[in-house]
Amino acid sequence: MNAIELRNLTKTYPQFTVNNVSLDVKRGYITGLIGPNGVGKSTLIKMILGMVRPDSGSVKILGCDMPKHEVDIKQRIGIVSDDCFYYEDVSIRDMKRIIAPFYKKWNEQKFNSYLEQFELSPKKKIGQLSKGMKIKFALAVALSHEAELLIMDEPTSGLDPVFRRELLDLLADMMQDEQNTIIFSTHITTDLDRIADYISFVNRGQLVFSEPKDEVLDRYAIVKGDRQLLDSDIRKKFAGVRETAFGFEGLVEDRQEAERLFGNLAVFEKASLEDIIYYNAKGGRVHA
Amino acid sequence: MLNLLRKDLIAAKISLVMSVGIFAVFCIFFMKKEMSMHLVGIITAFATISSLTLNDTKNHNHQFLVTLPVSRKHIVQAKYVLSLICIIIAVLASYGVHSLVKIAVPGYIPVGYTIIDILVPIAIMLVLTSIYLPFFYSLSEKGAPVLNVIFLFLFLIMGDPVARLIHMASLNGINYPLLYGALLSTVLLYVASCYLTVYLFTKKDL
Amino acid sequence: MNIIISNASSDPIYTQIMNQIRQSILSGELQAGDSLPSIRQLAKDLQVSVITTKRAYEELEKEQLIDSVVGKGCFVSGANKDFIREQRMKRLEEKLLEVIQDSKELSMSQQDVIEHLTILFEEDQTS
Repeated sequence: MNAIELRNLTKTYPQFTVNNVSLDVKRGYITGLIGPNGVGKSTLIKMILGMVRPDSGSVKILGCDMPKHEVDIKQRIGIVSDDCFYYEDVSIRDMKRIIAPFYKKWNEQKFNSYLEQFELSPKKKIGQLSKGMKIKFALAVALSHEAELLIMDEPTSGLDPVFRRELLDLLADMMQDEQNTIIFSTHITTDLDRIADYISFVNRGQLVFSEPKDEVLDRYAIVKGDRQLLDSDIRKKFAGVRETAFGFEGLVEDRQEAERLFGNLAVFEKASLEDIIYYNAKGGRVHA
Repeated sequence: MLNLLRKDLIAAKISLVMSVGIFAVFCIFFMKKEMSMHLVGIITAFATISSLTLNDTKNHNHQFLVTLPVSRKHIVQAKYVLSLICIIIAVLASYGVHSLVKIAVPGYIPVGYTIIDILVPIAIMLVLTSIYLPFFYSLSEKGAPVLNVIFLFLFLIMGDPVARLIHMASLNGINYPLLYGALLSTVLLYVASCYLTVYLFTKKDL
Repeated sequence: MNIIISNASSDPIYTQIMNQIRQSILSGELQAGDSLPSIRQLAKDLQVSVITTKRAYEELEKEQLIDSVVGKGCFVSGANKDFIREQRMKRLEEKLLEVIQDSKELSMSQQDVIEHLTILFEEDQTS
C-alpha cells in the first residue's frame, strides 16, 4: 500500500522542468526526498499538496485522487515547512483558533502539551517567531489533528541540533503506528536520514532512484586511489570523480563491480548520502 | 465556509477596526454634502473588502490556506459572501448614521433618503467587487496591491460624479421595474463573477 | 539487554543489531519465551530505520532464534534448544581452552587443574 503515488508528473517552468516523475511513497515508513537545492524537490511537494498544478500526470494520496478529493485528503495530512505562510499579525493562540475548527480530529489537549514541550508562548505573534519556532508551531499543528501522513519540506533547516534530535523522537513516536507515513525533503543529509527507511533522490528535475536506504548505502561506494588508475573507460563507471594532485576520489554506483575492477589497488569506503548527492550533482569530473 | 469567515474575522481584526475609523472620518467630512450617504457607504465597503483581500496576500497566505482541508472553491466563495456582508453592513451603517443625524439635527442634511439610496450604492459595489475579485485572485501577489491602488484612484475620480448622477436620476422619477431589473442583473453579475474567480483561482499555481 | 550501534563499524547496522541480540540469547540473558521490543520501538530507541530493525529480526527468525507472532510481537524461540545448547557448549569450550592456556602459563598439570575444579564445584554445592 502506498501513501503517495505520483505518475508521470511533469511541470515546465521557464528555468527548469520537473520531468516525468513517477514515485511511490510506502505507507508505514519514512521516506527522505533528497537532492541539491533548486532541482525540483519543493515543486514536487507543492504538486503533491495541490499548490502547483502539474502540466500532466497524476497524484494519488492515501488512495484518493488529487485534486478531486482534496478536502478529505487534507483532513488526513499534516504539513510542516520552514515557512508555512501563517498570518503574521496574529498570535499563536489566534492562529490556533483559525486552524483548529477546520479539522474533524483536532486534539486540543495534545496541542497544548506540544506548545509547552516546544516552549512556545500562545501570546506570541507569529511574525515574531524565529524560523525554528515557526517549524515547531507547524509541527504542533500537524501532530494535533491525528495526521496519517506527515509531509515536511526542509524541516530541519531552521532547527538547532538539540531540537533536531528531539524531532527524531517525535517522528519515531508517530511511526509506532504502522499506518502512519512521513515524507520529508532535505538538502542537509545528516540527522533525519538516520531514521529514514526509503530514500528518493531527485536531481535536475528527475528522479534518480527511490529505494530502501540500506540498499542504497550498500550499493554505492567511495573509491580512492592513484590517478593513473583512471582511463576513459573506467571514468564512465563513476557517477562523479574528484581529482587532485595527490590522487582521485570518486563515487561508484556498483561497489562489487568496482571491487572487481580495482582489486586492492584502490581503497573502498562506505558512501554517505551526502557523497551521493555531491558527486551526482556535480557529475562527470570535479576539479579541486 | 463558516470557518473561513471566522478566519477573516480573526486574521483581519486590525483592518476591521481601521474600516470603522475610515467610516467615522468620512462621515464627519462629507456629512453636509449631498452625496455623503452614498459615498461613505461605498468607500467604507471598498476599503474593508480590499483590506480583507490584501490581508490574505500579505504573507503569501494563500499558500497556507490551501494546506487546510478546504477547496479553493470554498476559499473564493467565502470571500464573495464576506464581501457581500461588508457591502450591506457598510451601506446600511451609512444610511443609519445619516438618518440619525437628520433626525437629531434638523436641517443639517439637506436631502431626503429613500430605499433607492440604499439599493443603488449596493448595486454599484456589487459591480465593482465583481470586477475586482477575479483580478485579485488571478493576479500574482505583487499585482494585488497595484490593483488596489488603481481601484482607489477610480473611486476618487468617479465617486462624486456617479453619485450625483444617481441622485439626478432619482429626482426625475423612478422607473421601478427598470431599477429592480438592474439590481437583479448586478446580483447575477456577482454570482457569475464568483464562478469565474473560482475557475481562475483553481487553475493558479501558488 | 544492551544494544550498541557503532557508526564507525564496517558492519551494516542490521548485522550489529542481529549479533547483539543473538549474543544475548546464546549467553542465556534472554530465555525462551522472553518478549523482544517491537520492530518500531527498537527502531525508535536506536534511532535507526524500521527496515533495518525489521531485517535484523527477519534474519534471527531464519536462524530460528526468535519467533514472530502476528499482533503480539517477537519472542525468543524455544524451538531451537539444541542449537542454543550447542552454541553455549561451544562458548564454554572456548572458555575452558582459555583456562588450559592460563594453567600452562602457571605450569599447572592437568591433574592440578582437575583437582582445583573439583574443589570449586564442592564449594559451590555447599554454599
